[in-house]
Amino acid sequence: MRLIQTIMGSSGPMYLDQVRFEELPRLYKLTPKAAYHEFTRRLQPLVLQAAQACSPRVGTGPSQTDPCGLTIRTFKEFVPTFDVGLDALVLRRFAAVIRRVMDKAAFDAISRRYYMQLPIYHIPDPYERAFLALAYQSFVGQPDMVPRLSEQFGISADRVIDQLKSSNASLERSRQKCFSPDELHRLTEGLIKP
Amino acid sequence: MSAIDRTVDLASRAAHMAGLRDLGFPEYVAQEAVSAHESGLFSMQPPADLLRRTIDQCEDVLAAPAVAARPEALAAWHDISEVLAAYYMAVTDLDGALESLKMGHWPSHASRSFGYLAGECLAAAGFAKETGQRPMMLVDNHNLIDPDWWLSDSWFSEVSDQFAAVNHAARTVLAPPSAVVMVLRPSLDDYDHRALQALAKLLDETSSDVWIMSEGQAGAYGKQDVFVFGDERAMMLAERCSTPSAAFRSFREMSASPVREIRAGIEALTKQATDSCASRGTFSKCHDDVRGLLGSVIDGGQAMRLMQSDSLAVT
Repeated sequence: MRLIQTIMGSSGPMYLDQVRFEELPRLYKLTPKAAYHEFTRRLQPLVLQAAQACSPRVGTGPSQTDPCGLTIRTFKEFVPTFDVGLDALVLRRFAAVIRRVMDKAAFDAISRRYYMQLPIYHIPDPYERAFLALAYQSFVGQPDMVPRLSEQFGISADRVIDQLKSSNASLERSRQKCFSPDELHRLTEGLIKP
Repeated sequence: MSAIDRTVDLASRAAHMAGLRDLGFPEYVAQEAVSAHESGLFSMQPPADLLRRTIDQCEDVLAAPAVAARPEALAAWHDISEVLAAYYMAVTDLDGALESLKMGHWPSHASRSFGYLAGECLAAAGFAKETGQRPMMLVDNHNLIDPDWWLSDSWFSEVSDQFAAVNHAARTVLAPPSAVVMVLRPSLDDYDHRALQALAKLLDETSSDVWIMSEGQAGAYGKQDVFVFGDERAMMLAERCSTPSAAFRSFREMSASPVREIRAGIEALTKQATDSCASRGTFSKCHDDVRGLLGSVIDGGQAMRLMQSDSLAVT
């Protein structure tokens, strides 16, 4: 198997950045830093947005309201429970920590894009998976989403538009194929519709 | 807000929502994303070092890795997470892993699954055991790869961790660690604060022997970035890329005969640099000292080396 292909995961085995969310807690037991680094890398842009949506709290110091500081604190507080309990519920456990460290309004600002991460990492094609994961994690909602994805992936704006449409269609299929309605409801607090 | 402003606002929102729906985003996702934009949640982009700072702060509470098990115990590997788990177990018990390979205890599909980076690193560790030579070699060219990528990108960060794991394995079999040739940018001004911070951390934590030289001193490798695994596999990058993922896609794979020539070329380069290295005394590896070290190489015209056997000394 070609070295480059296997590193990129374009055919054959996947790499850390394509492992499903529910598999990260199991990997954490053997390679804690790599697994938690990957978990943080995926969710940090959304958590930073939540931190900015967090209501300023009366009587707390600057470190409590600085978005970057809040983001770091949220990830640090989650470490002890990262691999505790059912692996499939890892995103629900982290959602609880976001609400505790920040507040409900903060999590509500990102909840749909957050929980959509679960079915995204079930998309079979690695390129579509990586493309849509980045779109949801960092760019959807920004007016310059298309140019920024174009720059990240080195493809034209027209190609980005086509890729978003086909990847979202794949997401819809994988959501229906990989999760029963009850399971999806349970894993995403009912925030992602079947 | 005037009635006209509100109308324009609503029209703009509707257009934004329609655009996202056209791209296939579900209605409720589009609604949330547009609200996030209107609330200004995208105004602060994640700083480049936020991921690294987060992991640094988490390090004291991250769990210790599980005790290694014998690789042959992993009889049924159903998916990639099991393969990755087996790899990490294997690297912490290299002798056991290599023995299992020889005795055919490795599951047959593992040899296919291990055709990826982790497997190449494991094979490189085996090469070090058999030959007593360095397991891997890297030409880390700052003109092609940003130093910060080693800390901020998952792939590069993982490669860095695997270098550490393989060097640990090499030490257990009394082989020298991997060799890293750092090729610098033409001017000190080409390094911003973030790059210098990243270099200070990389040099502080490296487990490889490192040679630092200018592009001119690096000869043929001054224009390339090269990974060499053992003496049979290598990948080479000859163009600057704007993102880590673009860089990985641009690496060109090489095998067998050219790899041995590349390996010999890098070894000759390090020997030549060693013969002419400047003597500098102890290097504290703080930010200012990194700046000073790079300046000595770029402006002073002499290579530097940091050898693991010398601990923190620069010779």
